[in-house]
Amino acid sequence: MNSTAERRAEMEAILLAPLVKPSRFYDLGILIMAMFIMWGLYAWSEQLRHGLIVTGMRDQVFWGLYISNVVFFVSLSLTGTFLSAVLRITGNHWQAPVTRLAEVVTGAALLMAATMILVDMGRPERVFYVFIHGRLQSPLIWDVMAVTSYLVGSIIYLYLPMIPDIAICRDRLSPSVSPLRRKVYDILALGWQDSAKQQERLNKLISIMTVLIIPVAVSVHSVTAWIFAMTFRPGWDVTILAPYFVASAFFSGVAAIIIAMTVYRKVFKLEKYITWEHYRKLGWLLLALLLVYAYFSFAELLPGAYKLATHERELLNLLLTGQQAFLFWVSLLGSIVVPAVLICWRRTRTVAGLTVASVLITVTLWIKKSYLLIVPTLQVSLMPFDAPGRYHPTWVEWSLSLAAIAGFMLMVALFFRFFPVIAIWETSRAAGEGG
Amino acid sequence: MTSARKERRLGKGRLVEVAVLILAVGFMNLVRADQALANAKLFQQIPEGFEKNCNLCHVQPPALNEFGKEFEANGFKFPPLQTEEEKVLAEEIQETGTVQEPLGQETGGTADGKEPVEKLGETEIPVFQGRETVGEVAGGEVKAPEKQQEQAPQVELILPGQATRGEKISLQARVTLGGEPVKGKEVQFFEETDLFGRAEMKLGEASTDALGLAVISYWPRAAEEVWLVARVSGDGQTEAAETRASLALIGSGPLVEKPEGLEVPFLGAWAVLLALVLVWGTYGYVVYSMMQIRRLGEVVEEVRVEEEKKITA
Amino acid sequence: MGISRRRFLQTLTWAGLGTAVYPLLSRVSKVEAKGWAASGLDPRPTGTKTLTKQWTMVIDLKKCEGCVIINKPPQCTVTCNQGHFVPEGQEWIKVSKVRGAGGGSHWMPFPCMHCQKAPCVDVCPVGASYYTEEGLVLIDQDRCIGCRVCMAACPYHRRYFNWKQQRLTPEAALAERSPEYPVPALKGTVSKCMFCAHNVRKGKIPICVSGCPMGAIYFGDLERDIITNGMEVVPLRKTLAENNAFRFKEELGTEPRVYYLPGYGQEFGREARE
Repeated sequence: MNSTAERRAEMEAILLAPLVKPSRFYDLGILIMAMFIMWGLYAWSEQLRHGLIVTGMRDQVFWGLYISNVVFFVSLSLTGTFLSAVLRITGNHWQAPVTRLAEVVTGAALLMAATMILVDMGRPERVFYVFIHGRLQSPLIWDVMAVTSYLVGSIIYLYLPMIPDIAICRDRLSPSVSPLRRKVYDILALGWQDSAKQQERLNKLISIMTVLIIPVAVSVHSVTAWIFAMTFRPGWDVTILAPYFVASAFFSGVAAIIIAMTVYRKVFKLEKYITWEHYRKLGWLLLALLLVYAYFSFAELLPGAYKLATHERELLNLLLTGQQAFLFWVSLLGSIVVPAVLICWRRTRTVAGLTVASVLITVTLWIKKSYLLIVPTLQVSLMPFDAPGRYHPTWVEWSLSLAAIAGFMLMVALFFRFFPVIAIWETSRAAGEGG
Repeated sequence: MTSARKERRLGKGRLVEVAVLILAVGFMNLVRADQALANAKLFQQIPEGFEKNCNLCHVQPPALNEFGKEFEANGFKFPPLQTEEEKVLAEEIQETGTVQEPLGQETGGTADGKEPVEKLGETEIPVFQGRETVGEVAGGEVKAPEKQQEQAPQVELILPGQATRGEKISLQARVTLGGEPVKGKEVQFFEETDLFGRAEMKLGEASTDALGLAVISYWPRAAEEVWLVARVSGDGQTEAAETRASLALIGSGPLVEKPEGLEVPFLGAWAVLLALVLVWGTYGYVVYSMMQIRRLGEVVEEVRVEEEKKITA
Repeated sequence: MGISRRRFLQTLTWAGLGTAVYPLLSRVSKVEAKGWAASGLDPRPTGTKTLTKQWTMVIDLKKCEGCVIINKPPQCTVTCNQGHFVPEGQEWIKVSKVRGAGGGSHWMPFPCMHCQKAPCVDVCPVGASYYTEEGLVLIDQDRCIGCRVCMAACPYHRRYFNWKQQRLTPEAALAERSPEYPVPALKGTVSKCMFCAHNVRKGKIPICVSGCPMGAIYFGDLERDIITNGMEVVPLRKTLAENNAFRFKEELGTEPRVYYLPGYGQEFGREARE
């Protein structure tokens, strides 16, 4: 009993330390991200003044970096579900230390996706028309409903296991933090006394949310896919698009978590709790999802490539040998071949190796699944009067994209400045059950 | 300076404060947003009712564009609407004949539809002077001055009493000359239409048979009543002639299915709403149940305090 | 019962009432008035009380030469652009040379097809694109949020986005914008051909129809089976049948309202026939 209590005390000490004594680098990182966001806001003000003419989008390629980022962020947002809910519902508990990281990544990604949609709109002041005048027949409205539901569900699902941890913060940290923070902890802890009745209630609620969040998450990325699949364009008018999106979302989500894990492990000195075991298991999971992703990518392209109908032929020419060939082959290599090697080869199956693989996957999936999904399809013209379209993003688009990524990282960083990264209560419970 | 305060100056949360400040500066950029937020009503010089988009006069307030300079120079009155360039362009369009004569611009005719209807763009039908071309009664024959009677054929339209819109009827015309049926004469059938102006629409033509009858098939589509014209053109020996008659049409409703408003067939609206209600209902239940955790904790506290009292008592 | 339950129910009630405000706002606020109401034009459709018109357009490709023989840019485009102060870069009716399968080429004008099953109306999230009673597909620029899904959905590429505020002439600036006469175009919304709804409402022919020097464009009523090119009036179905009319991209099932009358042997070009 003693050693368990000692372990628990030690865990608390380590995990709560960053909340009161953050490292300088951490705060510096927050500062840098704030600067990126400030520049992005300036770029957005330029766009609001002059209109979307300041972007590189025109009447042929009218969706570019902004919508690519929307798809990317929505794809990232499936992490939380996969790691928290899917693994939990299948009886796994080894991932307990990283569930909160995953959930926060989910919430931040969804908020950034919504921001990018707002940025892309021609009349952003009318965004509430979507709620007042929304048409149920439109795939965009399905997207709004799904993303809102998933955001609220994720927040609830994040908050529930956090209640006991906030109670620990309330109990242990009171002398060292400002009175405002103390009050916030107090309110959010919901009077948690670690009683049996409370634990029972919490477990029940977590189970309900675990089951509910999975179909909601699957629907989120499916409706995002259906916005594209409901058109007549080559590359989009395929029935496999929704399953392809969901499968690749899980894939890039696990990769993103590995990156976040490595960062926080280093910065907050969490080597004791995020161990090599976690990396090993996540690494194999990543490989399995990589194979699924490779299969879906191939299955999506094969029928079109075999029949070579007019517009599909033009699209494939663009992708395989034409203007987008470089990006296409680089992203194919970087998302499938190189990470597979890095995971399978013993020499590179290390924390560093897996992190490099994850970075590659995240970047190349942005290229292949977001950018190369949208822009080449729009470059292909369906009518005889248009030449293939051209698209060159401008500084406004790059600034806003970088600001969105900075915003995402800022939200995650700020969250973990005030709440513990690792779910203390859950982890010690899982460790206790494990023996 | 106490050590605690020193600590605050140097490290704890200071950088975060700076970050927040930088973010605030960033957000202030949004005041540069679309100047539609400004209201031209604020500018007294703009006449009432003319407040429009700021871009009308300004490149970026207060800098003026060309029109704005003209407007101001003109004493805040709008300059003449058409510029010289546009006048020249308008003339050019006239020359190339892209401005067509509007249909139905009748040269002197009353609006009651009983005047001769001209066919535009075609040569006029030769008409003998003094002869009325069109009768004023429905289904009547053409009356001709007596002395040319033997040379002027008579055309008679034979129509059913009424017809159903969209259903096939036979349009018949009988051509007689001096009471005798004329064989082999070309009869042209027209419908009088009023689409963007009055004009005649050719329905078809047929030759008369031995009985002097020319027949074509016709599917009337007009609204309630349609005026039909049968015309025989003149050749070397006989004159031209024509007649008009009206046909009453009945019909139960539109023949073309028309999509109205936003009625897009979509079977799944109730399913979507059901799914939403289920998901958000569950959220509501979970949140409500979660709020009760505090209550559960208080119960525990009360029990504990009571037990302590019992022990000490 | 406890305070928490009552408080929870209270909060829920207020939240529910709060969300009910938005739809009420839209009924009360004049901002949401549909385009034609704001413009003061008569909202009732033209035609008799019993039959509304169902507009259609027929383009005779035998007559369209792209205005090459008169050595001018396509006049339908020019007159439409001028009549609607169309922003630069946009061509609501576009004339282009189309290569035939046999190696020949012919000229083909492409207005908005005003599809009877329009993909753009299906996907619009706020109902800014809508059908009128007479079958036209119009855009309410006071409702449009500028998301451009309709542009992705249109298989005919006939929609344009107003990327910037266009420079306005006084006439354009003073025009009262409505879905039937979207002048001046609003920055951040979409524009397209609207079959001159503002003209046909008053019994005037569309601008491109009267602008074509060859009389190649016919406009008329499916219900009354009649079309006109400003110079002659012909029965619709008979013309379509006798001239082998076709619709562009019929296989997509959009049911466009624009029929084309092909030229004889047009796939091989005129040279092959001589």
